[in-house]
Amino acid sequence: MALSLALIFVDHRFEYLTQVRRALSVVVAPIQWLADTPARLTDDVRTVVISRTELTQENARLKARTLILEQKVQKLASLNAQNVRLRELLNSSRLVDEKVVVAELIGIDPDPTIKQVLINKGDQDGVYVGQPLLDATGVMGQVIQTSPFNSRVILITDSSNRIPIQVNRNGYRAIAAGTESGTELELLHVPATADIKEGDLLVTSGMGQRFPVGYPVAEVKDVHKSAGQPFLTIHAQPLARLNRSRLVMLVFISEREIYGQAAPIASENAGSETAGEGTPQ
Amino acid sequence: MRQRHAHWLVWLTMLVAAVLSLLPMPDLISYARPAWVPLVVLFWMLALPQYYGLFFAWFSGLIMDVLFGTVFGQSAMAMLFMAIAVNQLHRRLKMYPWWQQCFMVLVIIGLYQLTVLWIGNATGRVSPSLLYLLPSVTSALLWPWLAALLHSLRRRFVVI
Repeated sequence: MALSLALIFVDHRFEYLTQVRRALSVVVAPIQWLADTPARLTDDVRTVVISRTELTQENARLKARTLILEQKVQKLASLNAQNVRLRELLNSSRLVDEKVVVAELIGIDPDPTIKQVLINKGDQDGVYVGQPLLDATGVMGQVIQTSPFNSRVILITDSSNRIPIQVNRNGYRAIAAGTESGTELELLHVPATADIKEGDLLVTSGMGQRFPVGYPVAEVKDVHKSAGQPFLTIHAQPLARLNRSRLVMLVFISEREIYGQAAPIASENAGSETAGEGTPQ
Repeated sequence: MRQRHAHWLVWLTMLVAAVLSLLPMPDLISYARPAWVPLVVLFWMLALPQYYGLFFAWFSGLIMDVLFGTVFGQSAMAMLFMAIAVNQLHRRLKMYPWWQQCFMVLVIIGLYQLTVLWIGNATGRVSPSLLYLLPSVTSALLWPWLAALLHSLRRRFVVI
């Protein structure tokens, strides 16, 4: 009993047991894999018994969708270039390259009050603690534990999770917290004078250095102002399909952000020097 | 009589219990999900107290901690409390009629759940309400069937 008490204390306070946990996670990975088998099997069966017409229909639909997305990407390329030029003009240093890797959800926490999931990529694939996780429609959460073959992700709706966000319409920054219901977010400490309306899109603000800027997080569901309270009560609905997505994306933020701090300033200096040489002549 | 060690059955049932406790379920059902692993541990501790005792319980608790990603020692501690109670009671428990056994299972699994809840709260996991104790009720209701099933399995594979 003293041993378990000591274990609880040491694991809660220090990080010595990470290695032990990693080793044991490899041992229990087959159990998690087994628990996921029914879901995987139903998926497999569905792909086997799906009819030919349905497949053709789906194919046509996907082709149309790809076309639309490609058109958007074309526009995005020029917008991106324009954005970079404007940022250089403003002497701004944010140049972040983000790469995504697709992972698959292999388990969810059996405790309904805890919103955590397991994904099938571990630190063998370069996953690290604190890494953001997205699905096709928005931010899902961040990695909190890694083991060689899988890792544990806390979802943004878990009541112990906080995510820094800003309102897309006017850039107003706030912090969104998970609620105990586990299905929606609540904005913390927003003063009664803040300009946030129902239907506003909330995107990541990049404060806190965890989540990259500009990914959609949630949509404001209701704003409630009560006269006696200093803060607004704001609830938001997450955009990511937290209960339904099976394919998720891990974001790798490349090193350019760090070097990017110095590079644009250097080029700016170079530019001014040439300009300086240019003017006397 | 030659002693047979078909103890793989014990580990197999433990494995099945672990898988059952991890299976994704809708929220409503998972609030009432029986505590599978403690139930199976409880059964084997009653059936074969000479082999499966405190250390077995503690170790399976540790494995559960890794499975669920909880603080190391949380389930282990809870299992240990449960195992101590069972160790004290197992001679009497075996004599009880089934409904009385159910009641004792309710108390024992309740003890397990409460320990998990306390340690969880102490280490920063929030838990909402007394709904947390619902698994002990479902476990108690499940106990007679589970015990019957495991008994028949045990007789069939002669685990002594």
